[in-house]
Amino acid sequence: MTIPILPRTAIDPASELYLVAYAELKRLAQRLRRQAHVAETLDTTALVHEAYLKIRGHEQATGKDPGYLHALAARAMRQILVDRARRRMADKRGGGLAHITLEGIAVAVDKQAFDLVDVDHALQALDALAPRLAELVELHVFAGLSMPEVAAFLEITERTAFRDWRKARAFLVQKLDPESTS
Amino acid sequence: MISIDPESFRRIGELFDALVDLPADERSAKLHALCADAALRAEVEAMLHADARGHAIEKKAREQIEELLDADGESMVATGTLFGVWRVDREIGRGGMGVVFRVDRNEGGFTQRGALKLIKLGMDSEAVVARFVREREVLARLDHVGISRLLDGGMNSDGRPFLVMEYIDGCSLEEHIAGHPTLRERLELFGQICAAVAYAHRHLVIHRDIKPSNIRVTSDGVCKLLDFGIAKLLDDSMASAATMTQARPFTPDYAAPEQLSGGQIGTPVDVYSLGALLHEILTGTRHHRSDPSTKSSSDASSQDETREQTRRDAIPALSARSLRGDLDTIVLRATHTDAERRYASVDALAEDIRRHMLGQAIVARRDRTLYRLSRFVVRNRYMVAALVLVVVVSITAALVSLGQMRKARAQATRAEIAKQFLAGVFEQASPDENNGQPFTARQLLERGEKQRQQLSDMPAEHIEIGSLLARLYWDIGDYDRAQSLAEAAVEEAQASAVPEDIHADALIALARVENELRRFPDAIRHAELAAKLIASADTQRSLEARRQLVSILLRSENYLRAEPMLRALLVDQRKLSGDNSREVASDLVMLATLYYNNGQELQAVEMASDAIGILHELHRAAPSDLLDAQTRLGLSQLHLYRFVEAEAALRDAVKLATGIYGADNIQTWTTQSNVIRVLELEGRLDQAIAERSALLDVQRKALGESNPAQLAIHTKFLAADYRDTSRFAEAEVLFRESLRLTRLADGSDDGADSADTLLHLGYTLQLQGRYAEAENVMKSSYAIMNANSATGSNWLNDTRGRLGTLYRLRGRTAESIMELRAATHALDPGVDGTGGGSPAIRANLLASLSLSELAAGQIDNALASATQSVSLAEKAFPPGNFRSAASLYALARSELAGGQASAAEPLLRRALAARMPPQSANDPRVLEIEVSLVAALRANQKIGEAEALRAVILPLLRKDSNPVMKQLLREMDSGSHRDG
Repeated sequence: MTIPILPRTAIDPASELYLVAYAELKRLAQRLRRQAHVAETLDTTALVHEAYLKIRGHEQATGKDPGYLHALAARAMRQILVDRARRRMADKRGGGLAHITLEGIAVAVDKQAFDLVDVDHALQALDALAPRLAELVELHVFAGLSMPEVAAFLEITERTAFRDWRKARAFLVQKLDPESTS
Repeated sequence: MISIDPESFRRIGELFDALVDLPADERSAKLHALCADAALRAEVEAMLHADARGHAIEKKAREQIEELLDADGESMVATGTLFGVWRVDREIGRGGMGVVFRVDRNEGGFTQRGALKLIKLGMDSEAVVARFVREREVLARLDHVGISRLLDGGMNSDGRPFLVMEYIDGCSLEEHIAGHPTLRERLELFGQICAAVAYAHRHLVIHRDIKPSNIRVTSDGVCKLLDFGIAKLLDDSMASAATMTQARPFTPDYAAPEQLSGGQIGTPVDVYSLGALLHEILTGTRHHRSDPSTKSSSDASSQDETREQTRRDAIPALSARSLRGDLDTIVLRATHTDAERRYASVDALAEDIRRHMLGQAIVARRDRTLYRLSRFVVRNRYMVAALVLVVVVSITAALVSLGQMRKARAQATRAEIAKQFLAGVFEQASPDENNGQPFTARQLLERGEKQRQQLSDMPAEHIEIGSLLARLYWDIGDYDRAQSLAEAAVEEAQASAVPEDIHADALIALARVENELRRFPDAIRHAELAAKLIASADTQRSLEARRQLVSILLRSENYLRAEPMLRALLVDQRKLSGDNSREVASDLVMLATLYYNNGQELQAVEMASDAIGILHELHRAAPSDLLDAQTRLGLSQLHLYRFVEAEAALRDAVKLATGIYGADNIQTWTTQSNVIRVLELEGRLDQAIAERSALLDVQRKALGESNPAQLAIHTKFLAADYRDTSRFAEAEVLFRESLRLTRLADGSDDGADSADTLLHLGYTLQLQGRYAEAENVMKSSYAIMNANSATGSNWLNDTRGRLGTLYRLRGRTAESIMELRAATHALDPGVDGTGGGSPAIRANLLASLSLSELAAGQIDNALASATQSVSLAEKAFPPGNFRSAASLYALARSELAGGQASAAEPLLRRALAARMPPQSANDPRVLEIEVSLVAALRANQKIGEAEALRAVILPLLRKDSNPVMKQLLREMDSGSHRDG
């Protein structure tokens, strides 16, 4: 038995702490973007950590363990990224390529293999089956934490973390790209 | 995937863990031993299979995250957003200080274009705003050919200041330099920049932020400086906004030391930046300031340091030699850390450049004898050169031929190996080896890969064949294989010292696959690298690399960047291969595509026609080139409503595609669909239906359910044709079938494709009088679109407007007007009717709005809306097209309500002629016109004709007892539309 199905401390997306994390991450991402000539590549790890530092000082954070706060920041990061992916998709759709309008001229459909919105959907499906695995993916992919860090936060061994990650990844791949029989 | 519960997933996970580390061939047996449940086993096997692709997908997800982080989430400004009188067209750039949009304003019938800079800083204090306004006036007075003028400025609704500058159509200075201008051209360019800065200085304006990205070069080679004085404006404003001190409105690499240290700012600041810029223009690399610690000691040693730095940095674009000497000295003098010791003015700097170009002694080092002598040589270079020539020629000739020989031998060897390689692949590929079946392309390629392994100790050949195989896999559509081969080839080329052209070939092959997979940043990076590697080498190859880069930019819709590059490419290609080559033709087709996508159809037609002309001249033109050109030509003509020409070109394309791909191929079907599109837009719907049905049958047979997305689209097209020919029942069946296929393709009902089909279906139901159903369907369509589209989206507002029409039909007039006004407003800047959303959709919205206003008794409003609708329809549709009928009908109804029956009658006759055909006599869209025509005829005292028409349509109206017909009956019998 390698997947402990433990009741997770629920992350409430309406809680003040979550909203603070969300706003902070958004602000940080935008600020870093403005200074893009300074920091060539942005990575989510740094952002999530900064957001964590910010919410750690919040009054509602007292008594919460760092693992929970990181998970909260990771969830907010995921939401920001998925929001952006969705909006960008909408902008592309605004160009109206994928359909015939009643008056327009049709253009062929051009689809990307998958995007972050799909990943989000797949992750929701995983959450329903194995919340612990979904949390692991959130920390590793969206918050960019390394495997040892993830293991530390989830209080599992690194080996277990690696195994769970491989399992979760296989599940997601299968969801995202079901043509696996080729 | 079957539906599983957490418990069985846990079990699947355990099995996965137990098996995943085993060798692949042992897994199956072990799995059977561990688990007796076949369904569970299948799940585990699927997951194990997925595991193999885990890395690739993980990588893709990370790339997307990086890309999204890079995209600024904050400033998404929709097309059509208004800033004062300026309407946003699209975003064209972003930088530290804000986002830049291309904007338009309409005044007195002509359109002015501008570049709007939305500043990202908080500037809320009134004093700041007042100063902003004052400074703006000073800047607006700068009027020089080399300065992009400040046109306007203000605050948007949330208090963010914006500036509108003259829009410069051209390329950036960096791009211009990337085209390798000669030294003379570079210096002339720099002279232009100096002249503009000097002019501004005479008007007491300092730029403060001169750098390459603030300079654009037009296609005529005119340099334009952007953002003059903006830095000062911002600096002043920020001094007031104390919180913002950490960000400075200039770019450190080009900023004078006194700018960094907060010293006195004057014209020397611009002289410094110009010096740094000169360095970059000459060498292509950034100017490095000397170490800040030595900044105070502006003595010879620190200068020498800088000089050495300058030399080291010179890149091959211009050799270090041309920098050494005068130009080096000029740069050093201009960028002296001590402002006092720089050139006293920009004019003085420009004068030294001019002297250098004339071969005269520059002021910066007037007193050195040796230097003078060297200038003598330059001035008399032809004489001196003649003396030296004899010696040099004999030496270099020997060197060149030696080098070439070595290269030629290497190439010959490679060619021989490639030949043997291919022979090896084909020799073994006789049908006897394959159970008598001929080999497929894929089998041959797989053999090629095996064969290639023998080359592993010859890196150059190994890489070359790898790139070739990647390209061939790309040709047969196996992008995964193509990608991994190309990636491996690139890695290998990086690791081993192979000739640059081989390295570049591998990069191009990789960029091609990445382009196909829409991984544009990677594709661009690799193509750029390839172009750079062979920029100075084999010219046709280097043009190929640039061509690949342009095609990536086109595909990623980066037209702004693509256009100047493509034009430069075309020029160079013509130089190399003459006007009539396959490459020139292919560049012209790309240019046509660019124009077509930019809505410049006339230019697109011209380019495509030129390309076709060239291809016909050529002896062995590739039919696929001709296919591209014909398709582009045909679609451009179609957009211009030149139906005859469009149909001819597109039918040629069908022939070509059939010849290349055969009849049963998606490419061929697409060309056929294009021809049918002509018929549809022309209103020849019966023929369109016949051809579409045939095409759909062919595709259904060939594809089965293997490509539901393709079938869904073609089914939807056919359904729309049925609806527009009044065959509602057939239309409904097909729309529902299209929805089913889309669900099959998307796995859900809430995607963009479903939304569009739902809208079509809703409209069909409405025409049948099934209002409640129609409302349900349209509302779900609207909900999906609302979640996915920008507020200014044509598509979203079209849907909203159609919902508004439905409300009118259901008697909810106020609600109807509200929706229609909102939709119209979203697509209309409201200045003089140009710009905004698609004219076709706006014409429709205004026609519907007019009818709703009429229903509310607002006759004047209705008349205004309808008039505007008709004028838009004239722009959007060819004369007499059935789509223009809605506008004509709305105007006629308004006239009738206003008591102008004599004006209404001819409008109604035109509307009727436009609608029937294609629509039939019992279509409500035809009957509604006739009902109004009866009223108009009565009012015009043509009682006999009115009664005759009434007698014809009465039975048609009574035949169907649906709400549409009932409503029309009521209208006719009331004899007036006034209170309809």
